[in-house]
Amino acid sequence: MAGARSPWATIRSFQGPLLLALAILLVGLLVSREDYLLQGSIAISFAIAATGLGLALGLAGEYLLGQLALFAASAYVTAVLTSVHEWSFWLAAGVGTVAATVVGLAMSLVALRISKFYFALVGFFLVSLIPNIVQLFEKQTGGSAGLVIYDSINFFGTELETKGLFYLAGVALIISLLLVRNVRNSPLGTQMRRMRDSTAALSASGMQPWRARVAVYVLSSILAGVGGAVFSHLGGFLQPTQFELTFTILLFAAVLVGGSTTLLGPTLGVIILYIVPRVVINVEGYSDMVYGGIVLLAVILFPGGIEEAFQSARAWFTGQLAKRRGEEPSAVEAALDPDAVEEFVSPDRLVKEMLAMREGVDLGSSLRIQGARKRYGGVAALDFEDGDSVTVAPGKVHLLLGPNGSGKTTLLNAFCGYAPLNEGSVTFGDRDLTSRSPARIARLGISRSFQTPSLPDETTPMELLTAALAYQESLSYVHWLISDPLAWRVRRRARARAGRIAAAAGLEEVAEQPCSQLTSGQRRIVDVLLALSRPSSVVLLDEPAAGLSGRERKQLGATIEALAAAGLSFLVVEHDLELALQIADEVSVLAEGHLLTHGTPEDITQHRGVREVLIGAEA
Amino acid sequence: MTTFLTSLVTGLGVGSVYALVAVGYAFIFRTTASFNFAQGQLLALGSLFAYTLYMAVGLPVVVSLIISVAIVGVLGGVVERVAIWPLARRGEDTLTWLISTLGVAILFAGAAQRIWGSKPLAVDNYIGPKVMHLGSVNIATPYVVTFVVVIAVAVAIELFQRYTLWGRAMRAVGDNRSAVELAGINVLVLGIGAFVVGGALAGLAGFVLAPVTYAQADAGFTFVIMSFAAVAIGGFSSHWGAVIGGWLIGVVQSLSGTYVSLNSQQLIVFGMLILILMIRPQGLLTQRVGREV
Repeated sequence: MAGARSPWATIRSFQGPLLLALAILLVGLLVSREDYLLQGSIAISFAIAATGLGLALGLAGEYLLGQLALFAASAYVTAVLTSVHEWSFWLAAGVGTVAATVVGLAMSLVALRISKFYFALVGFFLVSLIPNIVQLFEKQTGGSAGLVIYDSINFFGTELETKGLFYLAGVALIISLLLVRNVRNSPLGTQMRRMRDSTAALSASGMQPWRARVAVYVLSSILAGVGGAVFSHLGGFLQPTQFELTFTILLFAAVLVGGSTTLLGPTLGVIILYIVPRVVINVEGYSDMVYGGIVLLAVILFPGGIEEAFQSARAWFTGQLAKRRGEEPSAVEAALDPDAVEEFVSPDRLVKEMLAMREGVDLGSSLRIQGARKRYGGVAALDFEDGDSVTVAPGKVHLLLGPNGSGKTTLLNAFCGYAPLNEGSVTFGDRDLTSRSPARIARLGISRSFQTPSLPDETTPMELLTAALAYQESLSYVHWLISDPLAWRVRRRARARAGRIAAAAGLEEVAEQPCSQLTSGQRRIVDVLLALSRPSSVVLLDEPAAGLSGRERKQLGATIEALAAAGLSFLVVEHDLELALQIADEVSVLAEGHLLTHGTPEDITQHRGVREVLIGAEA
Repeated sequence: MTTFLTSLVTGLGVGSVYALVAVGYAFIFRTTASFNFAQGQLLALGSLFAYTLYMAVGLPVVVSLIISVAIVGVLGGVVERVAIWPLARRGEDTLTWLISTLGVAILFAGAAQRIWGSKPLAVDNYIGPKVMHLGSVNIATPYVVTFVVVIAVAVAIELFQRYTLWGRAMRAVGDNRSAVELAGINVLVLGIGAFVVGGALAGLAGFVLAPVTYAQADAGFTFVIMSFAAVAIGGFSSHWGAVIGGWLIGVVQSLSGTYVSLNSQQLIVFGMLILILMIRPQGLLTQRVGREV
């Protein structure tokens, strides 16, 4: 059931843009006042830019306070090209959008270096520079006096009047929304959400976080550019005062009020904040205070925007109704009960899937760390002797033991590139991994799970698995943006496989539930599945059994053993000694960053020093 | 030569204003890891209260100063209560605080415009001549006063953070919140305290500055941006860094205004900020690395 998507679901995922298109058409047909149509067009051009802002904030957690500067750049470039150089609008709009994208790209290079917090303020600074930059190019832009635009837009021989411009803006908005919808619903969108919550989790999937971030910046810059190009020809003139800080705040407030996690949220926000004060109730002169108050209230009262607030209000209401009726817990709640199903699911199907995606992968390299030393400030987290090494051999399960704070997770991080070593080396076969990036190491065939799984709340296990699988086909981002047949095929294939994996792991019931509703054990299983669902030869698992029920532990152990028998190698950190010692071929014990000893499970259980370290001296 | 020196000294004077607001930022950041967007607006309010109390009502300077700084300090505390506390309690990250304080800033700006109008209001000089002569260089007296005040404030903060229990707690709370809580210090009070002090510093800057810039309701955002640049260049948690950053920006701004053009001033400051942040993302005077603010 999880594999295929019903056609109805596909249509439903278009319902927002469709309804909006209908609304724009209705307004165009019913409203005849030119000033209202003009305000509507301006609002639409802002909505396009706000949609880009919402994408960046909701999907990637980026605060692009500089969005208005890109909007202005595109507007001015477009207007100067048409009215000074007499270009056609369409060509000029294209160049204007490119200009905005170039500025956005340059900003993204800054963003990669500095913190998000600094970047937000740098963006704010950039917006405050608009009047200065316009003045600097006074000859072209008209400076503070403004630039008059005589020409209207020529659309196949007809000059567009106010109503024509309104429809043009509407079409631009709908196309923008469709593109953003494609990205949001695509595996790329899921990967961006993973990055928002944890860059480490994203790089573990083999994707370079900077690539995802730059993709976000470029996409939202394009939208700012399109919005700006449309805006340039609406009012007949351009002036720096049209790009005052107030409008940055308008854009941001719109995104916060409408909600950044939903597709239509930002558009809804612009309608409320721009149209209502101008057309419905006139609060001219108070608009700054209104925006300020709304930003504040929105952030404090509805952190997810009104659309989300509405949804949670509805959920609360239906929950109250159900309580009053004394209904039984729903199927979802039953599935969440760990004791509800106690039968043992054989790992065969899961193992088959995991091996199928590893066809042709070289399983013969050992992963090895030698003489590892890692210091954080003055504290030595890892302090190996020069000759000490930990080797994960092909087809073996290597167990890492040690008390809390002994350096187990640091060792895992050193293997994966998250904690670059101060001294020592990491090798994989004959490759040197010592100073490679986490994403590069992941792509070389090493995958891992995390001590604290980081799964974005609003994504489902199916989406996460689909994204992890689809990402392996290394499709260009453009395919996801336009959602072409190739993207469809790749996604369908990935979904089918993800569905089989989820079912084989006993997650069918919750596969389509948001991760926020999963139990900690289920989250753990999803994270382990994500680590396994890559064409890797070595899998590093950080406490994979924590939070799992007895049955789930048994299944996990059986899966690891079967995959190891097929040639995969594992490095496992685990506190459940019964399970761990049963599946382990080799054991290394860490204490205070030192490698205490290593050997077979039998050696280790006999080792006096180990018993002291693990169970305490008295035992 | 005189042109250069005048430009340099004026730059130091303007930079001292940025520095004073920036010291407030550093103080707040050190304690609560947040950036108060309304800080610039509080400066504007300091000027506006100077106008109302000193010019309109006619109170003596010292009385006007004390009342203005006290009111603006309290408003700083209000910002914390309204824009930070409800979010911090819910565990929202500091980026959200940025937006909520921005909301308060706009609200204050709008309210100030309603009350005082948007025209610049003249405030007479408080002490001494309007302009001081240092050799061949002329400089507006309030700039000299601000220069002295900012050094005094930075020294006072240094002493406070070094030698008093609350000062040490304020320094420690930025590094390890729970340790300070365990030591029996009320972290909530520390948070408001930092915002009150930060607000008072902005109010002080606005009050002192009023005779030069006039009191204007929407003057705030320029100061927010320049003081952010100052504190980012200096390193967010160091008050000396904020002072040096403020001076550097003031001087660069003033010199580029004199020798390039008035229009490119802000652009050059922006370029310098980006350059410094690209080379030293943590700021000039901060050692701490690898930790996102």
